[in-house]
Amino acid sequence: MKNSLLPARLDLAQSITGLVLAVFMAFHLIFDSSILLGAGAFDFVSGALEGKLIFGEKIPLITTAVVLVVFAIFIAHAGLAMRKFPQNARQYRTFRTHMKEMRHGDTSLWWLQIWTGFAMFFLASVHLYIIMTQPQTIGPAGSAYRIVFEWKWPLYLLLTVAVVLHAAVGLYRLAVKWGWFEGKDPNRRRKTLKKAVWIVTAVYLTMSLAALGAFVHIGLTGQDHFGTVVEGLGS
Amino acid sequence: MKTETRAPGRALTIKVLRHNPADPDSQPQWASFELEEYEGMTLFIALNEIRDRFAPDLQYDFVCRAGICGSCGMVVNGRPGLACRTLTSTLPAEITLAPLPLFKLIGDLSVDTGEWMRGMSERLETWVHEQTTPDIHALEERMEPELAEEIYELDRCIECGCCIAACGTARMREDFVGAVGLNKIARFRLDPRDQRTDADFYQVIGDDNGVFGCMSLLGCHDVCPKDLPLQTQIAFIRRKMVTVS
Ligand code: HEM
Ligand code: SF4
Ligand code: SF4
Ligand code: FES
Repeated sequence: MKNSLLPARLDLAQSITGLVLAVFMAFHLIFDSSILLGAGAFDFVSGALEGKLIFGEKIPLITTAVVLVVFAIFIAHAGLAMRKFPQNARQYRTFRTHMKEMRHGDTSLWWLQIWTGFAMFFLASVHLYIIMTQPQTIGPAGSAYRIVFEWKWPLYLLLTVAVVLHAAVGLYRLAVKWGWFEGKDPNRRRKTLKKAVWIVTAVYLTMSLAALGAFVHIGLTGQDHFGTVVEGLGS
Repeated sequence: MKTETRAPGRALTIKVLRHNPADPDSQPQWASFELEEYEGMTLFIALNEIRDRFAPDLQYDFVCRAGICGSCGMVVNGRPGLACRTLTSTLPAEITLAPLPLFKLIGDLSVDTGEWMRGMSERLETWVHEQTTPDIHALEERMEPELAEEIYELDRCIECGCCIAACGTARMREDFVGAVGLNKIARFRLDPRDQRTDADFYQVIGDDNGVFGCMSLLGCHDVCPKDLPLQTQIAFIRRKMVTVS
């Protein structure tokens, strides 16, 4: 045999890791945005995810374990997807010129995916590492403190934009790549999918950035935007 | 006799990227030509007029003038397409024409797609592979009309090379077989006379120069002048190739 099965496995793994990460992010950003319903809601959600409803108390180690798994999938995905990056200056220039001349939506979206992916090497790694090593600090007060006084808001701002765009475009690409949801008229369906991508992007960006704003508000004023005082900020 | 009166058409400026690789002094440069547009003008007609009136040595290829032979592919305002099938009325008044990239340049707008296509065909063995020598005296085995239609649909590819020029992957990685190659595999896979199995096809396209190299940018699908269903075919082949074990 000339061709090994490795390229097939790698391609599949690239898609599966991307899909798992995207699904994870879809939930993660919703849970995160529970802060929009007030500090109490966020406290409840973060507590529930750390096993409070089952064990009666928060077990931060659950967070550490989950992040560890996500981190591993993230590294695997980045490693696999990196194969697709332009490998040298010539390829980089050729693609840039090609993209500018073609003025073709899906070609340009790929470029966006390369750059948002590249940015996440750094942005997401920092975030994941902090959450993995300090899970006990998650909560309305701890998170707001981190975001405002430990200067995480610029990081989260960039990471939020990068991850939402990357994941939404990534899901679209998965659909066209594997021929999901082709329907009877794949060309029409592709347009619909593209529209869905932009709607999902707009909804998630608005929601997640509003949530980030809500944390900043708590950090600066000591209360959530409903006026509930958030204890434990002043460390 | 009535003389024909015609409203004056748009003034077109056609810029052609000219270069003669056979001449060591030649440098690629833009040459600009002014023409008056008239109804039904295609780029083929416009180029003929340029050659007749301004540049007798202008090189470009045409055979069928009807989108059948695939020889007139060129980059029109940044996008690959067939010159004979492109009406100037669908373009802005300023039109740039450049040769298809990636293929060997013969001169000006003329490129040798044949050499590339032949290399691809030999690599992918794009012909019917039969195990037995056919008996030329017997009737050919029958094929369901639906299947024949399906094969014919994919066989409409004219090897114009537009999908290759439009593919960001092919531009970056020169050994990539491109949509034209993957479409051919899809075509022979359908053909019951071709006795190759998916495992055999995997041997020719199961790597990063084949189907797994495709990054689903769909430039190919969006420029193919024959409107071949390249997106669905590549996705289909990809699904088949990951399930080979
Ligand atoms: C360092 C971090 C990351 C890098 C470098 C990266 C890079 C890439 C690249 C270059 C692609 C395109 C692959 C191709 O063209 O075939 C891609 C696809 C994808 N990415 Fe990422 N990515 C990263 C993180 C993420 C994250 C956090 C998510 C989810 C939220 C994600 C979801 C996806 C999806 C769903 C795809 C489509 C998969 C496919 O085409 O097979 N990626 N990624
Ligand atoms: S697939 Fe379409 S664009 Fe590509 S060579 Fe065939 S006809 Fe031309
Ligand atoms: S889908 Fe994109 S990468 Fe794949 S062959 Fe078509 S243009 Fe090239
Ligand atoms: S001249 Fe034959 S396709 Fe244009």
